[in-house]
This record gives sequence, structure tokens and C-alpha cells, in this order.
Amino acid sequence: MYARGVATLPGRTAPPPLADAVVLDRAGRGRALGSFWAKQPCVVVMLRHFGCIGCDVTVTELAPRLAELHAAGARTVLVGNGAPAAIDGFVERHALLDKPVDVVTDPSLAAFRAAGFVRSAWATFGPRAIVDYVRAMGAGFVPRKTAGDVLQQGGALVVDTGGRVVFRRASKSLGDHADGSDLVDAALTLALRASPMRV
Amino acid sequence: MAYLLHAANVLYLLSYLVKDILWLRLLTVVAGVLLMTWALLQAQPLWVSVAWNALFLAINLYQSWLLILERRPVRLSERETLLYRLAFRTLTPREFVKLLALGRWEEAVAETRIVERARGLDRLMVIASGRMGVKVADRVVELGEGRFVGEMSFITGEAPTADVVAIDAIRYVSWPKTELKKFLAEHPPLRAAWQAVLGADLVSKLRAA
Repeated sequence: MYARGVATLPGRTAPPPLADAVVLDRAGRGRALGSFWAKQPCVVVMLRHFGCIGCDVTVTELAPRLAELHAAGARTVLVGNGAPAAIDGFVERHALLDKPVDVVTDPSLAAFRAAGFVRSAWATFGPRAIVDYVRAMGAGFVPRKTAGDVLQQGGALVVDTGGRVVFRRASKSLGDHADGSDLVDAALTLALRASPMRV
Repeated sequence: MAYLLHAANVLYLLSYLVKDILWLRLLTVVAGVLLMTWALLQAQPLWVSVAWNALFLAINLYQSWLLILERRPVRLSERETLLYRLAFRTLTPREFVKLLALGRWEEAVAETRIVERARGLDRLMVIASGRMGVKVADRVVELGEGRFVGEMSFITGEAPTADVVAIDAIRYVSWPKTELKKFLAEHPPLRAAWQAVLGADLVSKLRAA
């Protein structure tokens, strides 16, 4: 039995609601989130809405690591929560078109709930969020029009092909996100565990 | 004496115009000295102003010193240059020097066992010269110059699943695992660069296996 907040502790199998949560592509076609880790390990980075300044920081930092994740055999999926029509602009803004990454959206927030990720006004407008906001603007990021649920926070999961969550990080505020190096570490660890030669 | 005050303010003005943080700090230091001198030379010395400027001066001098240290040219020995070219091109020379300072140069004769299967490995190595062989089942996978040994244990924390033996006389750099992890955790950009180096090596090894 999985309770909210502990649904996907590392080492546990992703709960059925997470694997079965339907995410939409840019054309609005639905597919189960679990299908992304059916054939290869998967790094799932759940963003907030597509106009979120904190998500811009997250993706900007993650983009240079996508090739490393891909080389380690992991598939990377970014999950927003806005309308499918907002995906194209997001992909273009971050120059993701030719990168090994899928961008989908979950307007129902079912995957976010199943992953136990926070949805709160405090995380969005509280003091920590304000500091995150100012810090992002200081780094040259600009706020954009809201494109999705503004209160939903994101997080990151690394899931193996058996559906086991080997890494989980829930964002505490809009600027809080998993370190790309931790995601690469988790992906490399999965690749190594499948290898006969480990030195 | 008003010229001291004007000169100080002109320097402050210049400091606001430069983009380089070191020049900004150095101009501020000189301006601060002029301002303190002006404050001291008043009929009634302005001790509060002197005290605050002394504090600003100390902070700016210390930060300038750190910036100068960071900007010093990096000089690598021949063997360090070779190793840098072999395995660490994606790091800056300064990052490389920082990492190298944590490690130790070691040598071993041919047939020395460097890693023992199923026995915890507390270090990570990179081959500077010579070859090592990884015994996998009934074959030996050769690792040459610039290749890492122990990075799989470094990442997973698990004991090695194969023996590694020196094929020739070898020279390598060895890092203690715990200290290296602590150091990388304290330097996130370096951790990312280091991970890219290790990851590329690992992926090629996994493909070879």
C-alpha cells in the first residue's frame, strides 16, 4: 500500500497509479507513464507549469547532461502540467528538439499525485520560493505566462525497467530541483548493475 | 583636502563602470584608502567613516587576493600534461590541478594485482602509462593509458566483480574514494565535469564487456 508522500521511496516499485498515469504528447495523444521505462531505465523529471521560471532553470541545467543520460542507456522524460499546445514553445525555447528527451504533459496531475509530489501555495509563494524566484532572475531567467497548475511542484524519479524507483527527489519549492549529477549517477549505477564487468 | 574626496569618488565611479570583479575591487580599495585619508585629515577625524572603510578595505583585499590566486596561470609537469591530454580534457587545467592534488602518483611492476575481485575497493585510479588487464570470465579486457580503474565501485559502492592486473610496468594516479567523493560534493561544477569524464569511460567499457 502506498501512501501519499512515500509512494515512491527509492528501492520500491513504482505504484500502479504512477505507471498507469496517462501523459499527453504535443498532439494530445495519451500514453501510460510506465511505458517509458518498459524497455530501458527512465529519468522522469516532473516540472511545474510550462511557463515556470524555476523549471527554466531546471531544464537549462539538465540539458547539457541529456547526452550523458542517453549514453548511460537511460531515457529522459520531462513532464509538465500545462496544455499539450504549450509543449512546442517549451521545446523550442530550450532547444530540445534534437536532444534525446521526450516532453509530455499531465494536466490531470495524476502522475504528480502518484509520485507524492507537493502541491501547495506555500511552496509557490512562500519565502523560499521568493528567494528562488529572485535568484533565477539574477541568473538571467525571465518569468513567463502561466501554462498549467501554478501550485503543483515537481520532482525527479529514476526508474529501472522493472519499475523499481532507484532515485526520488521531491521539490520543496519552485526553484528546488534534483542535481543533474545525481540523476547521471543513478543512471550510471543502473547501467553498471547490468554489466558483468564491474571494477 | 577636498581633492582626496573627489579622487575617491571618481575611483568609485570608475569601479561602477568596469565589468571585471577584480578591477572593481581594486579600484574600490584605492578609493577607500583615499577616503580614509581624507577622513583622518579632518580637523575632527571622522572615526566612524574610517572604521567602516577599514572593514570594506579588509574584505576587498581578501577577496581580491582569492581572485588573483584563482587567476594565476596553471603550470603542469610533463607527466601531468600527458595525463591531462589523455583523460581530463573536459576539465579546465585548474580543476585538473585541484583533483590531482587529492591523488597520489603510484607505480607497479608487471603482473601486480591492482584490484582484487569481491574485495572492497577504497580508491579510484587512472592509468598514466602502461596497461592493465581486467579478467572477465575467460578473457582479459585491456585498459590502456587514460583509462579509469575502480570507477564502477566508485559509483555503485559495490565490490569489484573482476580482478585487475598490471600487464606492463605501470604508472597511475590513485585517489582515496571517500576524500574524492567529499571533495566533489563540495564542488558541484567540478563534480559534473568529472562525471562526464568517468561516464564516457564507463560507457565504452560497458560496450566492450
